[in-house]
Amino acid sequence: MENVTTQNALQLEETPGDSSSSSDEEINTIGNVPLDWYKDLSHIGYTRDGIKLFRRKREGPHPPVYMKKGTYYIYDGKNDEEIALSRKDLKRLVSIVRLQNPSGATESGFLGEEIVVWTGTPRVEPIVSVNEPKRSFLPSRHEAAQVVKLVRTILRRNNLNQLKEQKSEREDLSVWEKTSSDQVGRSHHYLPPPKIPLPGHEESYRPPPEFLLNEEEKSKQRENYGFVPESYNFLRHVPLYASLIREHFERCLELYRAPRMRVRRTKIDPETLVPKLPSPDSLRPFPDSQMASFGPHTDGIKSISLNSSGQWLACACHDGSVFIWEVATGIFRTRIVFREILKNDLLASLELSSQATASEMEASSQYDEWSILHVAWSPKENDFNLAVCIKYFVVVVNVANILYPGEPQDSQFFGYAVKGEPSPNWKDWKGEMGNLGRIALIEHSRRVEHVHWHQKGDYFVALTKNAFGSSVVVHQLSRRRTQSPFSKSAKGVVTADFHPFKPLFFIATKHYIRIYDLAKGQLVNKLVTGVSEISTMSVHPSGNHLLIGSVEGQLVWFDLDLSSRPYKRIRDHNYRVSSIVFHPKLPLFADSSDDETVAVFHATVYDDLLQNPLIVPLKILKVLRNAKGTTLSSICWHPRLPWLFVSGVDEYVRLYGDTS
Amino acid sequence: MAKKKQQPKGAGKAYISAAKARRKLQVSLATFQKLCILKGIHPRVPGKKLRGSQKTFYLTKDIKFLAHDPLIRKAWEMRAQRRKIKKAKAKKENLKVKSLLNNFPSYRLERVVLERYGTFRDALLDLDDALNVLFMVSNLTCTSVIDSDRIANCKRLCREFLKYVTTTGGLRKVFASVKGLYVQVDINGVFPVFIIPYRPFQSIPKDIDQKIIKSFLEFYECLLSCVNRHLFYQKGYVYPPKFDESLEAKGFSVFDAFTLEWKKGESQLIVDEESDLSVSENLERDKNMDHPNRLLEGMTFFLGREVPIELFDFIVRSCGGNALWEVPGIHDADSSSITHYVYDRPNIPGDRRLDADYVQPQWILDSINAGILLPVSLYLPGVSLPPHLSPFVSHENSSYRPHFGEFISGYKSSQVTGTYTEKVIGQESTKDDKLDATSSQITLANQEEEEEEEDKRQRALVPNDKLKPSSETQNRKLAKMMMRSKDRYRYERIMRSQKKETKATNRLLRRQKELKSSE
Repeated sequence: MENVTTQNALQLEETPGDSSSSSDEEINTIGNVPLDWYKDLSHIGYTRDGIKLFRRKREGPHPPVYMKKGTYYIYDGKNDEEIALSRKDLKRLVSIVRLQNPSGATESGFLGEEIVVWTGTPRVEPIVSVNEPKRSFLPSRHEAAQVVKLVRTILRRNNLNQLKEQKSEREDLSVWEKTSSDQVGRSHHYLPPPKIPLPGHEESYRPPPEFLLNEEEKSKQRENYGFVPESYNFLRHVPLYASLIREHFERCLELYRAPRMRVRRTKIDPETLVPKLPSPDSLRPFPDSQMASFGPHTDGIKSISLNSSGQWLACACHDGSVFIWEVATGIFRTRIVFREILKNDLLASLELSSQATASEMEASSQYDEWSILHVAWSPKENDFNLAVCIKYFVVVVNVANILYPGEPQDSQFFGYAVKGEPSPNWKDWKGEMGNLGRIALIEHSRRVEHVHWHQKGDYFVALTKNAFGSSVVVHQLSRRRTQSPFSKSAKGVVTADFHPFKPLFFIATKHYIRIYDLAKGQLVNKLVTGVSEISTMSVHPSGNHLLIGSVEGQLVWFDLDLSSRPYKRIRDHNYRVSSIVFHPKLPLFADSSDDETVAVFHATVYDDLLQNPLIVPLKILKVLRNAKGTTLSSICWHPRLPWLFVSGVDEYVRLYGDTS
Repeated sequence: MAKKKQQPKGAGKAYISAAKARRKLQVSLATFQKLCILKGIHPRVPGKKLRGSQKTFYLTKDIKFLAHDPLIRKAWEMRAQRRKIKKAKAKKENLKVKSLLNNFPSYRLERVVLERYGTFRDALLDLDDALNVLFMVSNLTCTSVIDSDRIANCKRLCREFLKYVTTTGGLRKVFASVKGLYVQVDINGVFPVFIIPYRPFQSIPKDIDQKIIKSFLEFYECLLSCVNRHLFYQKGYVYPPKFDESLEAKGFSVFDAFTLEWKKGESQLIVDEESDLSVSENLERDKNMDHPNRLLEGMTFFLGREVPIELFDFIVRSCGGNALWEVPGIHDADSSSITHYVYDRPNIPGDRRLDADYVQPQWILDSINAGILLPVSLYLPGVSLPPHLSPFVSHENSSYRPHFGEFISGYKSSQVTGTYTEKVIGQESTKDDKLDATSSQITLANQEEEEEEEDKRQRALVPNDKLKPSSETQNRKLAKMMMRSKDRYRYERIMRSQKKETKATNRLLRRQKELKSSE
């Protein structure tokens, strides 16, 4: 058995000397029997032909491995042969002895067959008497899960491969292959981004010389982050334009961040936007140039007024005097110094109530205090009653005596028969001073700013103001009576006026105009102006239209039949509109502003309700200012003619008329 | 009973604020920006004033579409994957990190391109922004955000596009500006204009958010690849065309390095498609497509090494010419086929050839813009060049005209009449008369135009007030008082812009006059 193993394990190389013997065919045919059986015999076995094989003669037992002449031999006892070992064989043997893998040996085993270590009688019972668990008989769930995972992975990979193939097929196709040109690709919501403006000559590397800037312009352009044109002689000299990255980046930002909006840019001729109006020349007559001037006065003029016939012009001066001029001739007629009269004679002779005692007045006899704020002729025909606002008083004077000295004096009270008792604030004083006629003094609790006469000349409204408030009071001349139409003091009243013939009353506050019916005592209408602050108001002679001026220089026209909202806004001044006046007869109105201009308008009002009023600006009169810095104080129309009187603080009243 | 909450109506319903939109979509601000860029969603100005006028508003419909878009799903997936990676990194599970990174969700934008541009024409109309950005990026150095692959891809796409232009001869206008070379090309009747920088940029300014450029780039790359594919498809070529980098490295033209292959059986398909189109469309297409720029046909240009070679190679080729430059061992300046030498330096290197023209690069640009070969004598190397005019400005309604522009138009008309007379000599007398008549009419018309222009100029130089009677201006001033405030605003705006314009032209005219007198 040992022999066999050795032979299997080692393929011994034949020594060149032993050519007769070969490993393939065995000489001895005794088979696998112990050699001890032939120990005592002379032969060791038989050949294939049955001939005895005789042992070679030698002394003593043969060693299994020995050396002879530098070569190792091993002895084959069965065949009685010596086999020479090569160096390689020796190496193998050594490694076998050392229990190492013999080089050149097959990988199947380390030393060939397994050596059975233990043999015994097979046992019937198991050594450990523990039952096998159930799971050992069932298929493993963990393994099943692993299998499923694997299967899925394989499937997925297959799918992915398929997809890749499909994709690669699809990639060959164009995105728009199936769309045709008539297919509408975009919704109506789509807003295309605005295109980048195309470059002009200035961006050229060699712009025309007129595009190049001088140093001053260059620095200005750089300040405004504008493009500065540069010129180069050669294309290769053009430097790297590093801002291009920033420009493109900013464009990108705009594309995703800037809100877009569709703006319709229609090319319009700007002239079509200007309204077509009739030529001013076709609307003559209107005042377009200065005809005469009245003056000089003793001081700046605060207010002017023309009497109902248009013959007498009254000018209220800053120093508390009233000048009366004859318009037709331009002759100065008289000067009434109300300051003196009030101070010296009138107040002394009358008993006065609390605020306006003579001593107080003396104490505060400042120059401005005695300025006449407003003067107004009664609009009644042949009436020469003049209302003057000075300090806390309205002084009504009948000046017929002065103007027409020869005529017999009116014994009545301002042309009215005296009826009943006067209100306590009315002081009647028959003038003894000079040739002044009758004087009525009406005392108020606040400083009087305006007086507006009713068309019939009996009633007049006075607007009084101080730092704490304002009030509107109505006076009746014939009854010497004062009534306060509003129980509360009206807040921030700017101006007030009567309707020309109806018992209506207009009150303008800062933003609104209220119209009251005086007969019924109730509010009729409230007009919303929409201006920041009303500065002045005028009622059209027809009573159906109203015009207001505002602090920001706007005129607002109201058609009272139409609506309580403005019909037209006219922006003609840059500064506060100081006064507006309608012409009593002609279709004209004029307004003055703090920017030293007077604008004259044509305004035809039609009886037909369907036809809108025609408003045409006619002329802007520039009033020259003097060194003092004039502001226009007052304007006033002639009752019949297209004559406009304009007064300033420069001591002159100018008359404008139609010269053509 | 609880009061029912009132649903918004009108503008309140149609528009949604940016913050609200983001809340609805559940994405971060950066993702929202990116989605908006990719999908082309932009804020709108609501028609009516909504509450919070400081906010930006989007169209609610846009946001609703975005909420159902596959891209937003991808965005969510990517966010989840990023979180997983972060977690795995923290646990030091390197294998997992690797696999997660390998399986990071990706998306393609071809569908978005089709969605945004339903027809090919729509895409072409929006192409100039894309081309601007792509040409800029292909001239950038790579950064941590914009990597080299991306830049290489941009370069490839841009070159493919230029290759297409050279094959169709679609170059229309070129303008050498300080910013770069403005190029206008004709593609299927659409004329996009874009800037090609002369040379690569050295660095990107630090305050520029490169991520935004990258987001735009992602979309523009896809758009241009789709456009290129469709263009090549229309011509029947295989896309992408093969590009031989070794040829480019050797110094050959980039456009020679492309090899265009015909698609098998594709040419027939195209013919079928065209026959389906209506006649008018066909005609239109013919008009656009079959007008290749053949100005430089039969000419061979030798480009000096100081000339931007790739740009001028493109320009010359897309006008039908051929360009060479010095490549050692392949071709040099002595080739007999060369008809023009283009040098951008004062001295001509080597011997001067008598049978060839020597020009500066501006000659090519000006000739293309004029549509006619301009006299070479003006552009000799070393000669002070005439001004280079922008081809995108028309002076039809302006009183100002640059002198050189007038020279070009005069030269053009003289050339046209010259060719007419040459033709006429060999032909019948009747035609001769007709042509004579037309030419004389033309000259007459020219004279009249010139006179008108003279008038215009004079008018522009004299202030308006002095020419018009004062009463008329006075009347207009009065009438302006009666304008509605809306009209007045418009009127004043128009007048302001007109005033600005006349001021600028007057300045130019004055300078022109000064320069002329100083000469």
